[in-house]
Amino acid sequence: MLATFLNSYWQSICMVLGSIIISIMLALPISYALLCLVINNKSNRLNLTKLPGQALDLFKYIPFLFIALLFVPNNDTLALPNYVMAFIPLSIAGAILLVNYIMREMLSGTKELITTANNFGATPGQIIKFILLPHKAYDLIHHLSKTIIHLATFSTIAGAMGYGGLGQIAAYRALENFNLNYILACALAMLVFIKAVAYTFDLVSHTLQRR
Amino acid sequence: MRQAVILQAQGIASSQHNLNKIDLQLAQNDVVVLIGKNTSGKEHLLQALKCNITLEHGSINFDDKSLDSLPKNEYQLTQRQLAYLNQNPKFIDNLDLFQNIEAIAKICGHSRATYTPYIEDILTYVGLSGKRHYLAANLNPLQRLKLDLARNLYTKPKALLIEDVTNQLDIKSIVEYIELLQRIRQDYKLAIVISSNEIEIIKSLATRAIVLKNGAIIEELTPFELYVSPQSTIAREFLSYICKSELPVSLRKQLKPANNGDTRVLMRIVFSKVTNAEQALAHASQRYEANININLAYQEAVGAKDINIIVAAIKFAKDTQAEFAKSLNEAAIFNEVIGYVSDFS
Repeated sequence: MLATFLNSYWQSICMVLGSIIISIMLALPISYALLCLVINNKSNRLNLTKLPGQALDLFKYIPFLFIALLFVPNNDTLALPNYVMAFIPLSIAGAILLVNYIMREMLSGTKELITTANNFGATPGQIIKFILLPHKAYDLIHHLSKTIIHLATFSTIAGAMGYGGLGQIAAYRALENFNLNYILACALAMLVFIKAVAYTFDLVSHTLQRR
Repeated sequence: MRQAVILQAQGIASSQHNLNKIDLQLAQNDVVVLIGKNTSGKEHLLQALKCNITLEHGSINFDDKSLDSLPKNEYQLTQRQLAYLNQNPKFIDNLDLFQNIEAIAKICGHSRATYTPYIEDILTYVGLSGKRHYLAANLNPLQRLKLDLARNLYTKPKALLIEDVTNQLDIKSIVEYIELLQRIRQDYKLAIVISSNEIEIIKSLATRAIVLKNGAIIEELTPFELYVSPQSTIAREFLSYICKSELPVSLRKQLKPANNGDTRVLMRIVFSKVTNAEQALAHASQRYEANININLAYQEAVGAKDINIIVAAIKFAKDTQAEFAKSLNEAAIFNEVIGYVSDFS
C-alpha cells in the first residue's frame, strides 16, 4: 500500500516537473515573440497583450479538462505510461499560464523604461535581455513558482481522469472505498510538495535579491 | 566664429501634437531654452527633435544627415548621439548605479573591459562616484537626474534634449544641476535644448531663448534681450511672473490688479550698464511729475552681461504714466507695470 502511494506521489511530481520544463520551453519563445511585437508597437491591431490573459481565462479548468480528455490514457495509439501522457495537457496549460504571467509582468510599469531604451537605439531583443529581464527577474521567479503550484492542482484533476499520480489514487481508491486516511495522506503529500516548491523559490528569489 | 550646425529642424508640423511649422537650428555649444505655457508645445518639440513623434510636414537633420532617410542601423547609432533626458527618468530600480549604465553599455555592444573604467569615470564626473553601489530606487531627485545624465553621456552624444527637470528640485539642487550642465557643455561641446521656465537656467546657461505659443515659435532672443526688450506678451508675462516671485512677501501681499486712485504704480525698470539710465530716469520723473519710491534694486548677471533691475512704486501727479513709460523706452530702458500698491507702502 505504501509502495503504491509512494509510486503515485512520484508520478505526480514527475507530471508537474516534467510539464513545467516543457511549459517553459514552449512559453519562452512565444513570450519573446509577443514581447518583441509589443515593443515594436505592432500590437495595436492584434491586441496581443490581452490575448494570453483571455486564453488563460478560457483555459482555466474546463478547456483543460477537454484537452485532458483528448489524450485520455489507456488508449492503444500511444504506448506511454499514463502520467507521461499527462504531460501534454499539463504542458499546454502551464505554457499559457507562463506566457500570461511573463507578458503581464514584463509590460506592467515598464513603458517608460522601454521608451528610454528605445531612445538609446536598443532593439526589442536587447530591451528584453538587458532591461526587462534584470528588472523583473524576481517577479518572474515568483510567477514560475505560482505556475508550478497551479500545475500541481491540475495534476490532481488529471489524476482523477485516470492519468495516474495522487489524484488517481485519491479518486479511485480513497473516495470509492471511503478510506479517509488515504484522502488525508494524498492531501498532505500534495501540501508538502506545494510548500517545498514555494519555499525553494522564495529562497532562490531572496538569494538573488541579496546579491 | 559660427559653430557647425548639429541639429536642424525645418518646418516641422504635426496637428496631433500641436506643432506648427517650427524652424530651429542648433550649433555646437548652443544652449536653447524653450519658454512657454503648459500647452505651448515645448515637450512635443523635444519629442519631435528626437523623432519620437510622427511629423506631417518638415524634416530633421542631425549631424548633416536627414533622420527620415537613415537606414535602421545608422538610425540607431544616431539616436544614441541625440540624448533625451526625461522629466522623471526611469531606471532599473533593483540594480545599482553602475549596473544601470552597464545595461546601456551592453545595448551599445561594448565589452566589459572597455566599459568598466569609462562608467566609473562618468560616475565620478557627475559626482556619483561614492554611490556606485547604491540601488537606483534609493536615489534622491537630483541624484536620479545626475544618473540620467551619466547614462546619456556614456553614449558620447552630440546634443542633449532635456525636458523640464527642475520642477522637482529645490533651489540648491537646481544650482548644482545647472553647474553640472555648464561643465558638460564646456567639456563635451554639446548642443543643448532645454524645456524650462526656470529663470536660473536662462540667466546662467542659455545662449538663446525661444518663446513658444500654440506649437509655434513667436519670439527668439538672447537672455539679455529677454530681460531688456521682450516683445511678445508671453515673454513679458513670464518676466512679470518672475519679478513678482522675487518681490518681498510684504510687498507681494499688497499688490492689486487695478489702480483705485489712491494707489501707486509698481513698475519694473530694467536697463543695461551701458545705458545712461540714472539721468534718463531723473529727467522723466521731473518732466512727468512722477514721485518714484524705489522698493527693490539689484544687479543680475545674464550670460556675460550685467543688467540693473529696479522695482519702484511710482505716483504720477497727472495722467502721465503712458508718456513716462514711452520716454523710458526711448532711452532704451525697459519698463512694465507689475501691479498697483497702496500709496502709503
